[in-house]
Amino acid sequence: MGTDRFSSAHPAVSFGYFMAVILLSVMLLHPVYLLLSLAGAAAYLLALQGRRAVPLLLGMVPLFLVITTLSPLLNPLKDPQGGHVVCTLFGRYITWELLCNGAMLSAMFLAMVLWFLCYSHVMTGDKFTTLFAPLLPSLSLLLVMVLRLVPAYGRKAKQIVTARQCIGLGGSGGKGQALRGAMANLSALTAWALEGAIVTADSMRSRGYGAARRTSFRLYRFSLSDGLLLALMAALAAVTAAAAAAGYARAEFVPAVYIAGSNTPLGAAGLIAWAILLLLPTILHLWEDMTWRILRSKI
Amino acid sequence: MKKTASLRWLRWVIVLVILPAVVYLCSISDRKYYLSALLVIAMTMAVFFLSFERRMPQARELALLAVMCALAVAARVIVPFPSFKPTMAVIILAGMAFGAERGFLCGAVTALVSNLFFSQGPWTPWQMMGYGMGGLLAGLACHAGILCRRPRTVGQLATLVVFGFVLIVVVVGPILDTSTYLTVSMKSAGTTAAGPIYLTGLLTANLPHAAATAVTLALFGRSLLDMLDRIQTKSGLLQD
Repeated sequence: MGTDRFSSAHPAVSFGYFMAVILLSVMLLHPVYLLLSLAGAAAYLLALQGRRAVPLLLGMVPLFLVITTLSPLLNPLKDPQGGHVVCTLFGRYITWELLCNGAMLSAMFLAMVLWFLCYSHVMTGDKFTTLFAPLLPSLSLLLVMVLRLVPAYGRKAKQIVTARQCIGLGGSGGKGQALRGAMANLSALTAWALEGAIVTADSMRSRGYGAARRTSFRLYRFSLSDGLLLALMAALAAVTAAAAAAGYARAEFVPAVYIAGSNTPLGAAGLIAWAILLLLPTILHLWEDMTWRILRSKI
Repeated sequence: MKKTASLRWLRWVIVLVILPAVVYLCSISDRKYYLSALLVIAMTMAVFFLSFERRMPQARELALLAVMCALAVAARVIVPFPSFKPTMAVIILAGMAFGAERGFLCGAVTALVSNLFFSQGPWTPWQMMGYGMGGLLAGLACHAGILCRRPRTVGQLATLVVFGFVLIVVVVGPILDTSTYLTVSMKSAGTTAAGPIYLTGLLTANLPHAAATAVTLALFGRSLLDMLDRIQTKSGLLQD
């Protein structure tokens, strides 16, 4: 569960990586760039989750097809856009160009979804608060408190429901009855939670909260290898961005098809840098895996 | 209090100078609406978050805010219908009881945490902004006397219920739909795609959300406001 080399890096590295990759994936709307992004996200999700990711990834295929076929309907113009008409639907012309456009759109959407799934795996709540604690100490504390309270309230809610069932309330009746019961449960939970807030606050104050500048517990240290990784990522992202700024990642389908080639040194460098950047977590994961296997066989 | 003075100054600079500048620059240069919208959201939230930090909140304020945020997230789990979302109702009531600024914080933190439990996505900043705005407007409406802090008559309760419904349909829902719209329109044509997207959002998501909020406010609003009142008089929480 997300304890590979990339996940155990400093949160700043992971956060920076995902922000850069997601932002670039959204902005570089070019078939090759998008395909690479999809492949990179899928590979890392497979590396993180193993076989459990397969049904999820397969489920993305019909989603892709549905969004692609529905997207021309969102196009508001009634005149045909692009030259090759496939069919008419609800009085609109569906052309190949519009379908390609839709395919790009849904590929971008799916790439974003897959990268965010990887993000949720790697950037857990504690890493998020570690990252923002020096900048926003009170808010990070608030976040930590809420993260602790939500599961606690879930457990308490179960107790309340059970207790009410014991005295014959809840469980039976129609939807309105169930809703009223739920509100009564919520009411009981709220009363208990608010009493808890006073106890927590008094306890915090008597332990000296607010008496001095707040320090934060650091589980992650920014090591040299983190720095190197961050520098490598920044360099790769910069090369990609430079190629994109020079127009190598541009593609238009409507009104006319235009797909930028990557046949100059800068274009090729941008594409290669983008590919390496996307595969970086997977490579690190596999590298660690291989090292482990080799060391194990020697023992 | 030199710190608060400088912060107030910074706030006006952001609101009056930087925000319009960002919107203007982004709209003329490359029509990067998505990026400019994200920047506007980030700066708006920075204003509220920084003012919270600079205020050096006391333990009581932190504890109470944490409880309200956690309740707003957990409320979804308690109600036995999966599509019924009482979260916004709790945020509205928190905004009424604790004031506009804390209402915004409560909404934004609730959205962030609820996404940590479900899943983060491109919608996270929009949801933080939308929920925050809901809490903020509820606090402002209460301050302006539109909403009653202690609803006793049927009329006062009805105002609260209608306010919650309208707030979701007019403010919170459209902010979330804008996230969808800007994602979709990045590659496809023009502003006229907005119609179908906002309409679908209204019918499939916002009207059920608004109905759930209204029902929760009607059934639970008075008792939660009373409980918050009681806890404030009992322990002097948030008396400033």
